[in-house]
Amino acid sequence: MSVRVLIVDDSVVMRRILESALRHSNLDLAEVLHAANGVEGLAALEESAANNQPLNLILCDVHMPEMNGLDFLLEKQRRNLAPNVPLVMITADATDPQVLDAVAAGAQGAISKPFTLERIITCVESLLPPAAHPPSAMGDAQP
Amino acid sequence: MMADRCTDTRWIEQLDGVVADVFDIMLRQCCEVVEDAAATAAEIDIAARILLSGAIDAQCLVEFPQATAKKLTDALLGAEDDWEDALVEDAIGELCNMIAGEWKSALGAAASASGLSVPAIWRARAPDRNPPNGCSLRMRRTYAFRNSPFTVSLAIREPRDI
Repeated sequence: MSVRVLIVDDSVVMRRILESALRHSNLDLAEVLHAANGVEGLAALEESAANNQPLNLILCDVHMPEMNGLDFLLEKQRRNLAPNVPLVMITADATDPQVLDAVAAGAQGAISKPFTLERIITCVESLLPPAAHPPSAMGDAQP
Repeated sequence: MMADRCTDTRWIEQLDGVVADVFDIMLRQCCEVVEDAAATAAEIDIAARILLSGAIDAQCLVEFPQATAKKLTDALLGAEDDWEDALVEDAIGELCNMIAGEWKSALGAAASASGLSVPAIWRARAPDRNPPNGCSLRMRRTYAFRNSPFTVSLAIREPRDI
């Protein structure tokens, strides 16, 4: 099973770090899409749906200009985009009430910055079906 | 009246611990406090500031010489390159974000009702280094990462209840 991931973050550096973590995991990665805010994230979801190229995972920053992570999640749900795709919030502010609101609204988890590569890998692998990370490769990650 | 220098070791140790944790967790790199006067006076090329507002008002400012900023970007991205200015500034903003977020968490429940701004970035010395009005506690610390200095400043209003 090839995996398509959307990373929504206004920081190019953070998007590259997250993509690097994904590429160090055991996931069979087909594509990693980048979006700089919630508006771009919604457009990426619309395009994926239109092209019948479903996503398997979304990593989303909380604080972003244009549209923040919580509003992105709520709007995604309102439009019924990627309804069963796990979404993980990424935040530097672990005590931000928006993180709890996002989890209450359906986000599958939250990861606080700073994080280790292993933290990202463990989280995303736990949210995807076994077919996304073949058993033969389990535990072989070398961040 | 604002204090020019914080002498409360609790606050200083807390900031030192936060900065060390960010570098250790995110980069697996050591970041040490620098007492050397020449290093603390190093020229500033890039600065990032995050404001904490709400129950507690505070400012977190990080200031980097270009050489240190480049090394930080190398470390975050896991490669050495001639990075575009925008990417280096982004890296400094992310570091400021993580330090401010960790520091806010370290303050505990008292700070949970305060929100963090997105990072504001300046080239050269920050034109607005002044902390929010009424800040009664200030501290400025210099650290070294891969033998290159940078500074982190905190200014806090009414910290007595924290």
